[in-house]
Amino acid sequence: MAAVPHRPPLKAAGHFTHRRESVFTRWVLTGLALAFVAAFLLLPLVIVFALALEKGVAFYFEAIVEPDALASVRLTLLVAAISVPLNTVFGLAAAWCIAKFEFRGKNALIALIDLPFSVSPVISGLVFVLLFGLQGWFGTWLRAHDVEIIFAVPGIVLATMFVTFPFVARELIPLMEEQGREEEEVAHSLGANGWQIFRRVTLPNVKWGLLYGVLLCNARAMGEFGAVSVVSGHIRGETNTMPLHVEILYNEYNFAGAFAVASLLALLAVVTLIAKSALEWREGRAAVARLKAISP
Amino acid sequence: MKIEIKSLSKSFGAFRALRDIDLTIESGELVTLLGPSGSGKTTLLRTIGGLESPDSGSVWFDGHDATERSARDRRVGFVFQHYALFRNMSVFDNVAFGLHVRPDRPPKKEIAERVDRLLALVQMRGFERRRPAQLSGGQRQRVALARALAVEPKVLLLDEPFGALDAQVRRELRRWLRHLHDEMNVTGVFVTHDQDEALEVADRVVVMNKGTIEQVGVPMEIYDKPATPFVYQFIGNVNRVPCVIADGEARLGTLAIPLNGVDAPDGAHATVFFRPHDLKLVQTGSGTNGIAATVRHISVLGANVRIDLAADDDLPLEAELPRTQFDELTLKQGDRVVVIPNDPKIFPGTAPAAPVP
Repeated sequence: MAAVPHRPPLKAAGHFTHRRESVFTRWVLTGLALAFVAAFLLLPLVIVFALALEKGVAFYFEAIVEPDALASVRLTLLVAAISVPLNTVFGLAAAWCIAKFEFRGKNALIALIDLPFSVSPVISGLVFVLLFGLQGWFGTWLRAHDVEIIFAVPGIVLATMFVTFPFVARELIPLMEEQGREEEEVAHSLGANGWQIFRRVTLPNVKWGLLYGVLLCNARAMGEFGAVSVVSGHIRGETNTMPLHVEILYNEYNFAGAFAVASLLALLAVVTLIAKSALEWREGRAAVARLKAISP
Repeated sequence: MKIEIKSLSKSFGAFRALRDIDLTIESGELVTLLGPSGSGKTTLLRTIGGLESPDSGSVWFDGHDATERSARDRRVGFVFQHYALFRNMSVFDNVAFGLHVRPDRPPKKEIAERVDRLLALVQMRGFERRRPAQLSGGQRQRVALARALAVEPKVLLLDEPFGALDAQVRRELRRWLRHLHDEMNVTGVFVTHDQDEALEVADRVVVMNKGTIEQVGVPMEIYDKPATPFVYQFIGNVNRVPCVIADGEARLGTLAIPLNGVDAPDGAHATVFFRPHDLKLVQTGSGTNGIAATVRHISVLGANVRIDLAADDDLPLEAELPRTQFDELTLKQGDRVVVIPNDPKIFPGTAPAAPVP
């Protein structure tokens, strides 16, 4: 990665020309930042792949297509496939009503949406065990009706949903609040019904923000460890998601195998990061275009 | 469409935006709601359009109670100060929106023709494929107007439509809108806090203050015969001089002004209002009765001259004279003069501070 401290001023904004820091300061600050990124982000990523490939490519692929590993990949995908769409719908609905309407208890709702961020994931998982576990509030009832939640897929989905609950809503609320409700009001007065307003006006206006939120939500849904670990029961090939499978392999001193599966998760993170940057770049370009259009 | 508003009230929490408003707007009329911010003019407009529902009272369209009717079914066109164009659609799609979402959507060709006609009307032909972000403020507002007109509204509601534009464009669009309104058979309600705009555009002006209507009248009436001190101060410049009632007259310097039916007992405080251009200035020493004052500053404003004066108790006064009259007086800074109002109006009580327009 080439560090370019002498970046030419952006064409769209002339205020980059006023730089008072000395060359020395700039080099030191840039160097510090890069060293930090390298030590804490790049190095672990490289190590994951290096250790995964330690015993050769053949072993790597074997570790991935091994039945228990494949089962964990399938389970992770299934959990994400259920929890991400549900949280997307919920996030849209919550953001819509918070940004476009005034009602009592609005601030309480915003605080509640943030709750999963402020609670340790292990506690989140424990809450579900206390609710749905054998000793839990609904435990007896569930057992009488032969419904399995804890130590089964439904529990994993619930815990994942709880933890990834805020991502979409958090992304959309400020965006929608900034856009106001005048466009919707105009659409309404022009004769559009609720669904038409949502599909033709609201949704297109937030589509990039929504995609961004979904990406982050998905990354977390696939990578969640703590909450899922509590409710999963760690049954190999059945209730182990990828992060849990990595842990089991690691505890069995199968480092190459553990890092092989971990490399898949790391790959997911890298892809998410690239997609996110692409979205940001696109948004940035749109903002510059808007600026150019306004100034004569 | 004739609009009748009957004893309308609306509060937002503890703030009373509208207090028992009654107003009738005739079919085809263009009425401006004029007032400072917080006077309730925008709330009244939004209630007419169905975007706010009143706490009490009713809105009638052509003799039918429309209070419970949703904005969708009122056939009103809205134009907002910040345009509110659909940012993700082209100019064409913006204007076509109202036709697209109709249950009885016209065929594509007909939509295209109507959009074309409307864009021609607002002089925006050739911009069909542009995005709102690629237009200037004036262009955006014309597109917003075309979009509102596309559904053939019976009522056009404009909320400070030119408020975000610079003065030059604003004046042009103002005239153009007045012209457009005369050509179309639509009832218009126009909210503004700009008195010049209100007086120029409107058939009738409704002056609002603190959720109530202060005065309704044609522009000339509003300017020449303000019904309340508020209207007097809000429309145009005004001199306010406190005075005391004695012997059934208002005493102003050496001047005695008949009360002309104003109900104020002897000894009561009152305020005399008169316009800066509606007065006479004479050099002291001619023996005329009036308010003695000193010339503080003279500024030439094209054809007129504005003279800042200070009465003897340091009360600031303002006079505006045509150049010819000023030249005859040969005034200079520091001169002593006598101010004689031509058509002063007396309101009982001390006048409140002038509102910020």
